Order: sequence, then structure tokens, then C-alpha cells
Amino acid sequence: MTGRRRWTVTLLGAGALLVRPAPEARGQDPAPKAPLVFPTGTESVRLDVHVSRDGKPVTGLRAQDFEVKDERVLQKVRIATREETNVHAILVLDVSSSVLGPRLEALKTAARSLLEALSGQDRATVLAFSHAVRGVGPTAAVPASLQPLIGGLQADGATALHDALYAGLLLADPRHGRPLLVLFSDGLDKVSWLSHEQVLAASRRSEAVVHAVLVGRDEGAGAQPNWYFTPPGYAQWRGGTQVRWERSDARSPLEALTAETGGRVWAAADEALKNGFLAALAEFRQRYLIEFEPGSKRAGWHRLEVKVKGDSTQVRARRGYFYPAPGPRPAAPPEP
Amino acid sequence: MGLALSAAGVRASTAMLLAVLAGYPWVSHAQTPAPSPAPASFPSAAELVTVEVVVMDGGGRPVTGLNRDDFALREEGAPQALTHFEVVRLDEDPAPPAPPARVSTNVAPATAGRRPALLAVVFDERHLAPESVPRARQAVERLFASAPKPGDEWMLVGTGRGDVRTARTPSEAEEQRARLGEMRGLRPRMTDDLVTNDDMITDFEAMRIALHDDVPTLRLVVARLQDRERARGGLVSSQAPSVRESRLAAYPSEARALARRTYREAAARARATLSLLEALTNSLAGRRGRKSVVLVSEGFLLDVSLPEWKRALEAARKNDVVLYGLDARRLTADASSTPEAKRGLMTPAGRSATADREAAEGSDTLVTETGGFTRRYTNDLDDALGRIAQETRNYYLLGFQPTAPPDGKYRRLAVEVRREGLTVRARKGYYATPASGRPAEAGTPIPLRLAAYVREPLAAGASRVQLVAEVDPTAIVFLEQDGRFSASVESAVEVAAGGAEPLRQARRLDLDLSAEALDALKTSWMPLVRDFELPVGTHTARLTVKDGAGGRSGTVEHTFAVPSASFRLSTPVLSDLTQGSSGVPALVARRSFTQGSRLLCEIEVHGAARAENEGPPRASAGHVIRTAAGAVLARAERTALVPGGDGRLRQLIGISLARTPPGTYELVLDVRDDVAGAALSAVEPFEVVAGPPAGERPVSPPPARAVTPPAAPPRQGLQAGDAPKPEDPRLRAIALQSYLGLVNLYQRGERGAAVEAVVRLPPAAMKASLEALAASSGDLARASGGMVPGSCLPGCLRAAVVLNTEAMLRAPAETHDMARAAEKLLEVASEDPQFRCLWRLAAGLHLQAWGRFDDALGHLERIRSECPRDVRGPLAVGILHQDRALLVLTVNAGWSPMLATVRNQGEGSPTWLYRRAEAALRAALRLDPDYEEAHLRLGHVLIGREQPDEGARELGWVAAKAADGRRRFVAELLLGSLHERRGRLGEAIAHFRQALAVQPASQAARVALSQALFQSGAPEEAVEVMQPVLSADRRAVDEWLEYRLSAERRAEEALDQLRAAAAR
Repeated sequence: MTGRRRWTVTLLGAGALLVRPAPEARGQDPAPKAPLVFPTGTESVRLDVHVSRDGKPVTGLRAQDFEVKDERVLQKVRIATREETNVHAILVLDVSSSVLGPRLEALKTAARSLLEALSGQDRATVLAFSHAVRGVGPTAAVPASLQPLIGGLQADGATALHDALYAGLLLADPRHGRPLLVLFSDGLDKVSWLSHEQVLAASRRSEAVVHAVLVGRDEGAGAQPNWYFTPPGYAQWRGGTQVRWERSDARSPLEALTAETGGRVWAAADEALKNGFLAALAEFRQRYLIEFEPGSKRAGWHRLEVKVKGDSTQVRARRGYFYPAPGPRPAAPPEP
Repeated sequence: MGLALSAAGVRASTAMLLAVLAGYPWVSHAQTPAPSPAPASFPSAAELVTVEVVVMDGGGRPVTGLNRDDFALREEGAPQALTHFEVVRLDEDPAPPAPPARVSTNVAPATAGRRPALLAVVFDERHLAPESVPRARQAVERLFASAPKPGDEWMLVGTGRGDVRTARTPSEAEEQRARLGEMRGLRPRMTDDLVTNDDMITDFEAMRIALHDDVPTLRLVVARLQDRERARGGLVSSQAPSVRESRLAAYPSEARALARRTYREAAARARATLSLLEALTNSLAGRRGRKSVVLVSEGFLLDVSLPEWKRALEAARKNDVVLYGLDARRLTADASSTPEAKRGLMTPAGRSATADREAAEGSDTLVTETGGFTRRYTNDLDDALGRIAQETRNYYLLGFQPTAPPDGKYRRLAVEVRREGLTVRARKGYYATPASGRPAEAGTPIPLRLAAYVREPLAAGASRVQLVAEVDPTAIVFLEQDGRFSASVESAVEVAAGGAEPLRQARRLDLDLSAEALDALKTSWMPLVRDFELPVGTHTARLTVKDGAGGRSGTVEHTFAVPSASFRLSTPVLSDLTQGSSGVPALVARRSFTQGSRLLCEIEVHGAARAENEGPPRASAGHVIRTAAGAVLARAERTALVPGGDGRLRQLIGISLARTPPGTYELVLDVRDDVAGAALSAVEPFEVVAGPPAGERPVSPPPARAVTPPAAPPRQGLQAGDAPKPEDPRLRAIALQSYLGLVNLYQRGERGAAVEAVVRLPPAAMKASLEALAASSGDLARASGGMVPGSCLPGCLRAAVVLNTEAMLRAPAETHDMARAAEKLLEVASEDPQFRCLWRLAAGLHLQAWGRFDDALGHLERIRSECPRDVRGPLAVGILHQDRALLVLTVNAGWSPMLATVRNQGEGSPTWLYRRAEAALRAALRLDPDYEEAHLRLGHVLIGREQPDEGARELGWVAAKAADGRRRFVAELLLGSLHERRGRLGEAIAHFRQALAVQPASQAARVALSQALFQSGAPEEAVEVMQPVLSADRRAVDEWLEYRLSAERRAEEALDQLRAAAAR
């Protein structure tokens, strides 16, 4: 590995962390077409970092302002230039029956707004899910081309949140732009094949920064509870009322996931969904993209610590990365 | 004057009592019901429960144009008939003045007149940070910028000082806006560094520690305290170990003390705000129109240990006040901007939203329970406030009469709108206290109604006017002595016209009644009638009634006109009572009548011309009955009026409400002077309200026919208008007959219609019919006391069982009751144990699908005892326990911290459930060793019981030998998952590939395989495997879901088999 490679993505914006040789160096098409090929070769580590003070983003920091430790070993870092700021936004939208009504319309408006806010150089992928996950339009498409398709979303079915998140993470190919995964959901997962832990494990192998926009429990007057959302037996356990279930808080696992990837959870009312989506994008664009060559080539999970030197700022970044084992198909690396 | 009523004469209940009251000067004549001796009980407004409903479209805009049929209202799950429907649109231009109402009342809700809007803004200074105040203040100021309309009230109150400023006029509104500048933010300001103790703990955390001694939270706070000390230079390794350990040991007690202090302060703030809300909402009691309170606040804790919290909630519920929450903080791009996050280390990234929710749980719950909403993190406060203002002025008012008598308890309400894409918000319940849902306090008025009937012209242009008042006797206090009840009621009426001296009459009514007579009296309102002679013009009558013993009084005013025209109609007398046995309708002060009753309408025509100035006057009259929307339901062509013995032209119209749906109707009278050619018309609106449960549902509009006086409509057979009591055998017979009609319909193949009708039947009537059938073994004559001939033979009984079981699917709220009722019938419907077990399987699976596990288990276990060779019984029991265990595990997986207590509760824990599942499944396999489903489930259960090797053997058997591909598919999936958990990715991938080979379209299989490939470092293939899933527009349910959520499908299958068995 050399320190002077060209990078597929060189700048600020996304929470990409695994940096590979440029496509030309591997003889690949810089704009890959389906089926997607997920990058594997770790040459360098790229890290998306959000720095704030008193709730406001801190700008103008230089590489020497950052202190990045890989497995407690200080690393020499550099900040990528702003030449390539393209974003690959992956929208993972819950269109299960609980969003039927005004919430679905608010969701469509929010999704369109986010697509509008992307530039022509950015790329977008839209996944809709209920108990089934499906793509809405092509993967990594020009954002404007997806706009007309948003109107056709219909609410129906149960919530396979984990399976949908996994699919979104899988499609977060950084060669299309810095991957930002924006999840919207108001439901609880009861029908996914995957568990939360499996999604969390997948997120550690993905470069996406995950933001989750969730709707509060008091906003669902129009939602009709169905078999999948109102678990059988729960009413019985709680004296015949389903209120407690509706109050249940679906954010804890998602907070873990977003924190793991350097993103965050946004709570929003139906009317504020649009603001939540746009806020996630705005925050994403205010990030630093830090690169370093890992000193240790140990395969497996590397824990990262990121700070800004001598400052009372708040830093949000992913908590680690996987360094792949050599060989065509390595055995499963140890979990952190 | 004293009146004594003999108990022996109370047979005719109210009619008899009213006859006795005829001796009193105010009462003009005895009244008896037209069609029967028992008078229909008028559903007084005092028994009416009203619900304000806001309906919004997808864009959050109020929806107009809905009608009564668009709404469905349930009380405690039971559908309620809407007896009142009103569209309130205060934003629209004032409507042209409506004609004077025929009846006035002092009981809300009156259906006429404008409903003023009341909007109170509570500026919760105690829960507002100073930095939030300017923004909140500006938004409220803009809300108050438009002046209130006449009758509206706007209130502003701050929780800092608690004084209320009310505005009803533009100038008062201006003062109110100026007052906004005084509002402050008193919530402690958060600092940006970790200096003070206040920054170490949130209010919610303090409550968790102080009230619940929550150890994880305590650890969190201790860690913060330690971090702070490290930041200050303490707790360093250079310290002596003894000093360091001593310091570490002190942290928990320090954290607890901090929690207690913080919680005390937070509770004090919450108490202050809650007390103010309670006082404010109580002060709004009795006001008409929608009462909205906007709580501008960052929210407060949900601390049910505070009595103020419960009192505030009850006050809002009792006084029908809608609370809205408005958190003025902006939607920020960074969690660190929230006060909690500013506390540095105390909140991990992304946690602040949760912290905000926790901190505002109390206010949010209050708001939600009253039918309002909370807006938080919005950058558009104007929009949020505008929406609240809009809802205050645009809504629907639904009214219903609860079928259950008032018991003082809180009853949950649910309102739905039968149109797609619309959102409904309404209060979630009410207190069913006697007398209009309000306690009969001395301060509340005696409910009264007042009407005026302008009768024949007298000399000098005057007319005879009869004022009819009705008093709610339940509001009168009767003193008991020696088994008799006495009361003294004073009444006074004044009639004023222009500047003339008002006419005044006052009376006192002394009552001395037996217990039976008192009970009879309370079934209806007391009529008071008085004659006046009034000149042409508009008059206002004011009636005041005072209860001597109770001290309560009531006043009602009524405005009416005495017409000047010579050719005119008397005020139509529309009534469901008659004067004695004369057949002449009695005067009543109401225009609402019970569904099922029969009405009489008497009109008199005055001033018609005589032919060539001699002979009798000649006039003719016809009428139309139409709905409020104008649809003509019945028409009677004009016929000549026949002069009576006194020479007056009179017509009596009979109207049957036996099959008339509740609603508003109009009787339009068309009268013509057949000599002079003059014509006039009159519109007499009236309302039909739901009556007591009847045997038949209304299906057609009311027929009308004209009759000649004085013949009253003959009474034939059973009539719903007789208003029998629920235990009346006649009512049971009607219900039984109706139910059997539906069974016949079902047997003829009209299954959908029959099931729909059963679902709509009053549950009590349906249950009674089933029980009567069961008790009589289908002998209808016995079941109905001889009123319904014939019998329901076994085929009929079995059909009734299946019909009822099908209805269970459609009425989840009543599923259990319906199942129990059907179970009783089952005992006589068939002696075939297989039929019974089949029914138990269908019923049990349906109950399981609706989450009633215990009820379901009761039926499924019975299969094991009644049909010991039927493998379906133990299998169903095993699957039920397995489903329940999986559910608990899913919930415990971390998605719902609220349910953490479900864990480890012994009986009902996953371990316990799995053990029972295993036992049942093994029992099934003893009956049929090759039962594939049992092997599959058992394998899954054994893995859950931490017996993976044994589980793998069962699953391996299914994967290798099962004939059903779906079961092989699930077995391969589960085997793959087992290997994955053991870290054998290669073997897992192989099993997932096998599963995919069986079900190539399965999302679960593709996700499982892709994820395993991804984890094994083959991302390209992982993506490739997922491509078909992402590119296909699939709506079909995955086989994995079919396996996980199989109860409903299996219930349907069992029902199909049950139908076939019943048909045999």
C-alpha cells in the first residue's frame, strides 16, 4: 500500500471510512452498473467526522487539529479536499400500513424535498419497505429521475425494518458518492429475518452514515393498528390496553446503530418530516472527511477514537472499522 | 298544595303520574302515549354525550362536507348510534339568521346558535428556558393578532404568576398582547460546562433514581460525577489508593442526594403547572363550544405519584377541554443544542431526542389523552398555532346516548371516519356521571325545556298561546319520610313583548309521592303548560324553576312570534303522546323522538275564506317528509280539511318511526285556501334518535299517512315504540326472531350479509338470543315465551354456531363474549365431538390471532380432552406457546424498554412457554410420529430451549423427509440460522442456499444468505443475491412470515372445515 494513491472519493460529506484504490487502479468502471460490487480492499481508512460546539458546526479545522487513535495508537491523518463532494443518499422508507393517511403524504413530501436538495452530481437510491423490501427506481440514480416515482408509494403491510436497513447498508457503495442512509420509520419490527445485532454487524462493514428520522407515538391518530404492530397477547399482559405498546420507544436500537455509524436519530412530527430529512442532509454536508493509513494491518475490528485537540467540541464519528483478512473469502472476523 | 299518589295506581307509570299532575293549574291535561300506554322516554340532552371531532386530510387541513354516516363512534368497543350531528364552521361568514327554534333549553348542547370558540394559552413559564421565550412569545402574539369574533374568548395565563387575562373584544385582545411581554422563562438555564450539579442529571433521571432507585441510571450519574472530578483534576492515579477508594465509594450517595434534590425541584414545578391547568379547565365547565388550551412548554415529567397529575387529567376530561402542546424549541441540526446535550458527557450522541421525550412525557400524555397534539422541534410555530386555531373553529360535533347507565366511571371512546386518507382526532373518553355526565352540584342549573304553541286567533288580533315547559325531575331533591318522598318546586314565567309590561305567573308545586310513583316520575320530564293571550309580535318568555329542598334553580328563555296574517296555521303539535285516550296529540317541549315510536301531528288552519261568504271555510293540506338533505321520504297529496264540531279546519297526521334511522327530518306542510286561492307552507323540523334495542334494524324511511281525527293509530302486536325494558320478554322475542332470520340468510348462502348483520347487532341482544336458543335446545316457542313459533333444528343450530364464529373475525372487541355465547349453543348444536373440536380449533385460533392467548388456550386445551386422538389439539397448543415465547423474545430484544418487566417473570417467561410448547408438540408427535409441522415446530422450540443438537436433529428430519416444500424451506432457514449463531458461516450459507432453492422468491432466504455472505467477506455476492428482491415489486407474503404469523391463516382453514361440517 502506498500513501499516494488516488481516492475514489476525496472529500467531505459522507461517513465513508474504507478507502480503496481508485477504480482505474483496479481496472473497474468508475460508474459501476448493477449488479453492484461492494468494495473490499482496504488500503486506507476514511472517516467522516462531525464537529460541533454549542450545537453549531465547527468549520475551518485542519488535519493537525484532529487526534485519531486506531486501537489506541495515534494516527497521522489528513483531511480530504473538497473536490469531490458527491453524496449517495440511500432513502429507506417505511411504507407499512401504519403510515397510511397523512403520514404517508408527509413522507412523500419529505422524500421529494431531500431528492430536490441533492445536486445533479449526487446520486440517490430509494428503498421502500413494509414486510417486503423493494427498490423504487434504479440504484444510484440521478436524484431528479426518482422524484416522479415517489408519488406512487403506497402503504401496506407489516414492518421488516431490519431487513430493509440491511439492504440499504448493502447498497451504500461509496463509488457512487459518500453514502448517507436516511431511514424513516414509525413502526416496530416483528417480521424481519435479521436481528438488530445482525444489522449492527453489517453497519460496521458498511461506509454509510445512518440517520434515522422517527415519528413520535402521539402522531399516529390515523394509523390503524394491525396484527403485526399490536402484538398478540400484549393487551392481555397489560390489562387490556394497548396504550403502553403504542408508547413503546423504538429508538434505542436505532440510536445504537446511528451512533455506531456516526449519524443520529431525529424525532419529528409528521409535518416536520421534511425538516428532519433536510437536517440530516445538511449535517452530512458539514462533515470532515479524514483519511489515514492504518498502522496495524491486523484483520478484524479496529476501534477508533476521534477528538479535536484542546477544545470543548463535540465530535461524532463512527466507532471503528473492519480491516479485511487477506484471501478471497476470509472466515468471519471476530466481533468487537 | 300537596299531592298524594297512590302506589296502586302506578301501573301506568308516568302516564298515571302525569294524569295526577293534571290537577295542578300549570298542567293543562293528562297525556298518554299515542300508540301505547307506556310513554316513550325522551332522551334528554342531559343524557347526551357529545364529542368534538377534528378531521384532517393528508395535508393537515380540516375536512368539510362530511355527514353523519361518515362517522363511527364506539364506547368501550361497542358501536354507538349518533343521535346528534353538527358541523361547526366558525371561520365561515355568519349564516343568515335561522328561524326561531321551536324549543329552547338550558341544557347543552343546543343544536341552534353559534358555538363560541374559547382558546386559552398557558405560557408555562416554569417549564420554559429563557432562550425559548422570545420565539414562543412572538408566535402567540401573531396568534392573538386577529381579534376575537363576537362570543369568542381568548385567555392568556402564565404559570409564573397564575393570573388569567381574558379577551373578548379587540381592545381587550390588544391588552392581552401587551401582557405577553411580561412572560418569562423560569426553567433553570443549562450551562455549557460541567461545573454545577444541575448539569449532572436530568429531571427524568432524578425521578428514576429518587422514586424507583434505578441502578443503571444511578451508575450513569455516578460516571458523570467521576468524569467531572477527573476534569477538575481529581481522581488521578497519583492519589493515594485509600483516598481514591474512599472518594469512589462516596459517589453513589452523592448521586442519590443530587437526584432527590433535583426531583423535588422538578416535581414542584410540575405541581404548579398541573394545579393551574386543573383550575383553568375547571373554570371552563359548562361553557359551550370547543374549549382549547395551548400549553406552551418544553414539557414536564410523567410522574403519576403526583396527585396533581391525575386531578389535572380528570379535570380536562370532565370539562371536555382539548389540550395542545407547543414546544417552542427549534428543530436543530445537532443534538448538542438541546439543554440536556449541552451537559457534555451526560448524553451520548443522538440521545437528546430521547431525553426530551422523557422530560415531556407528562405533558405529552395529558395532551394526547384529551384529543390534542404536541408540536415539537418545529421551525414553523405559526403553522402549528394556526392549525390549533383552525381546529378550534372548525370541527364536527357528534352526540350519542350511552346504552349503559351512568356509573361515574371513565369510558373510552373511539371515533373513526369511513373515508380513506383522513385522520380523526377526538377526546379519548368521558366520565359517565349521572345527569349529562356532570355531577349534580348545587351550582348547575335544573335542566329545562320551553316551547310555545300559537293556537287560534282571539279578539282584537290577539292569539291564544300555550307555553309548554318540561323539567328534569332527576334534578329535583325529594326528601324521604316514612317511605314517602316530598319535594317543592316553584316556577315563574314572564312573557315580554316590546316595551309592554311583562305578563307574569308564578306557582308552587308540592309533591308527595310513594317510591313507585317517584320512580315513574323520573322516567320522563315533568310537563308544565300555561295559557296566555298575546298580541301580534315577537315575544320572549322566561321561565325560572327553583327546587325548594335542593336549592338549585334553572332558567330558560324562549323567543317566538305571534303572526299577523289572517290566513295562517297554528303551531303544528308534533308529539308522541296523546291527551288521555282522545287520540289528540299532547303538547311537548321537544322535537326529538325515539326511533320506533309513532308520531301524531295536529295542524289547524285559521282564516280560510268561506265560499260566497257563507258555508264552512274550505282549505286543503298535504305534506312531505324529507331528510335534512332534502331527500323526500314520504309524500301525502293535499286533501280537503274537514271542519270539526267547533268549526275549525284541522288535520291529524300519523307518522311511524318504526323503521326510521336516527337523523334529522323535516315535515313540510302545504296548505291552500281553496276559495281565495292563497297558499302557505310551513317546515317543522324534528329529530329521530336511537331508541332501545329493537329486533329489527331500520332499513327504510318513515311512511306517513293522513288520518282523520280523532281516531288514533291502532296498536297492533309488538311495536318497538313501546319502549320495552331490556329484560322485557317481548324484546327478547324480537331479538331472537331477528337473529334466526340471519341464520336463515346464512344457510341460504348469503353469508357475507348475514355475518355483517350479526356484527352490527347489539352484543347484548345477540348474546341473549344465543343463550335463549341454547337454553331451549332450539325450541323457539320455549325460548321466546310462546311469541315465536317453530324450532331451530340441529342444522339451524350448527349454522348459528358457524355464523357466530365467522362474526368473531369481524368484531375483535367482542370476540371473547361471542365465543362464550357460541360455546353454550355448541352444547346443543351437535353431539358430534369432531364438530365440537373443530369449532374449538376455529374459535381458539381466532382468539389467538387477536392476541387473547389465555382464552384461546382454554378452547385448544379442551380439544385435547374432548378429542384425545386429534393431533390438531396438541399441535395448536404447542404453536400457541411457541408464538407467545417468540413474541416475548421479540419485545425483549430491545425494541421496547417499556416491556422489560415482561422478562423473567416466571410463569409466562420464554423459558416457561418453550417448556410447555415442547411438551405439547411431543404429545402431538406421540399421536402422529410423522407429523411434519410438529417436527418443525419442535426443532425450533428446542433451539429456543438451548438444546441445539436435538433441535437440529428435528429440523434435519424435516429438511430431508418432509413432503411439504414449505416446511423444508423453513427447516433449512432455521438450520442455517443455528449454524450462523455457532460461527459456522460456511454451513449456514449452505443451508440458506438450500432454502433459496426451495423458495427462490423468498425475501427471508435471500436476506439470510446475503447477510451471511456479507459477514464472510463476500460483499459482491451478497449484493447479487439481494438484487432480485430489490428489483421485484413483490407484495406476496413470504413463506417465513406465513410460518411466523400462521394463527390467522390456520383459523381461516379451520373455519372452512367448520362450514363444511355444518353443511353436512
